[in-house]
Order: sequence, then C-alpha cells, then structure tokens
Amino acid sequence: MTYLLIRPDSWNLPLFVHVAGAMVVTAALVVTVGSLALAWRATGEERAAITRFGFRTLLYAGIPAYLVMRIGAEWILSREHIPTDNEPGWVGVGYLTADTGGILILISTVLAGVGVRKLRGGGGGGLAKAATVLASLVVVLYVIAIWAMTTKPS
Amino acid sequence: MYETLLFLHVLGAFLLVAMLGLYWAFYAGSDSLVRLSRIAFPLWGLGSLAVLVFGIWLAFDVSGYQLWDAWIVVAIVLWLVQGAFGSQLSQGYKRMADGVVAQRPALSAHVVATAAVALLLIDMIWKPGA
Repeated sequence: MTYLLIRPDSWNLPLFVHVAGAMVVTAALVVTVGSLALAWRATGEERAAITRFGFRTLLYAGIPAYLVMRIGAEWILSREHIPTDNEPGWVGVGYLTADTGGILILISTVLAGVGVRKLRGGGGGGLAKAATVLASLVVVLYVIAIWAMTTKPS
Repeated sequence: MYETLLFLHVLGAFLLVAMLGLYWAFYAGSDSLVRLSRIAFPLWGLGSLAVLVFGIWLAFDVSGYQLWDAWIVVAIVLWLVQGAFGSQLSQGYKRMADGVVAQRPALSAHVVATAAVALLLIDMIWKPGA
C-alpha cells in the first residue's frame, strides 16, 4: 500500500502545461514518424504530399508543443524548489532527454523540409528517411523521460 | 509498485494521445495516411485499456484514494466518453482503409474524443474533491 502524497495546488497549472505539452509533442512525433515512414514506400506526388505533411506536423505542432513542454518543465521545477547543487537523478534525465530531443527535433525538421524541396526534383528521399530515424529516436528518448518523471529514480 | 503502475498508466495516456493525434492527421491529411489506421486501431485500444486498468489499480494501491472518489468517478465517465468516440474513429478509419467506406468519421467525433481526453488530464492533475 502506498500512502497518499498531496501536491500543493500551486503546482497544478505548471504541471498541466508541462504534461500537456509533452503529450502533444509526442503525438506530433508519432504522426511525423508514421507519415514519413509511409512516404518511404510511396512514389511521385503521393510521396511528396505525405513527406510534406510530416514536415509540417513537426514544424507547426512538434516545435511549438516542445516549447510549451520545456517552459512548463522550468515552471514546475521553480515551484518544487529543488536545490541546483543537489539535483535528483530524474531531473538530470529530464534535462538530458528534453534537450537532446529538442536538438533532434530541430535537425529532423530541417532534414524533412529540405527533403520536401528536393523531392520536387526527384531526390530528397534520403533526407526524409534520416528525419524519420531521428524523430523515432526522440520518441524513444521521451519514453525514457516518462519513465524518469513517473518513477523518479534518485 | 506505485512507481511502476504510475509509469504504465501515464505511458498508456501518452499512447492514447498519440493515436488521437494520428486520427486528426487522418482527418486533415491525404487519404494515403489512413493506411496507418491498421496500427492506430490496436494501439489506441492498448493505450485506452492501459489508462483504465493501471488507473484503477493505482486507486486500490494508494491509501487515501477510493474508487468512488468524485474525481475518479469523473475520470471513468470521461474515459467512457473518449472510448465511445475513439472507438467510432478507430472503426471508421479502419473501414476507410479497408475500402468499405470512402467518408471520414465526423469532425464532431474527433472534437469530443479530444475534449474528453483533455478533461481527463485536467481531472488527473487537479483531482477535484480529493
């Protein structure tokens, strides 16, 4: 039996912003991976259309949601008053996965965007494939982040 | 035990939201994307079940939570709403991918399923009445 821990009410809004942002960024990444992976096997205009959809999902949903998640993370951290000189392990895992994920999301967006442009000329498939792999890697990183945020290893 | 249950409960919620994201993509994107519904349907079901099963397990595991607490009852009702509309979306897109129907499920089904999940998240964080 686990005993109930009451969270101060002042943590609720920052926590909501953080979790909602994390859910939307993960959903955007899954949609991007799904559509870019479908594009691998498509041809012609269909391939360009699906790749463009994946790129736009990252650009218009993934990046803004990432920023919301990251702002929410700093907000809730500031409420929890965790000493910076003695941060628990789960905070470190959170920073590592969020920041690495952010960089990979940016690189994926650029690769997918350039890939969409090049697809018009018949190339660019390799760039879109690289974006798919990187976006998939971010999904894995975020599963690790969910594990760290919920189990809070020291 | 508590941490593992919470992880599986939250992971299920993320999976559920990701599949809702895919349903929105099917609605807004090209017809080709609907082919993904063959994997979205089972994953949506898995996410939904994980949220409910591990959520109820948590309610039993944590001293101080009861299944009849107002916020837990509200959560179960919201889960049923998202389940009903999410199922409509899953079935609709699967039928579309199989070529049985050509029309996408209604926009209102997407909106209601999404609103129910958003309210579930609010309910889980604020826990009104807890």
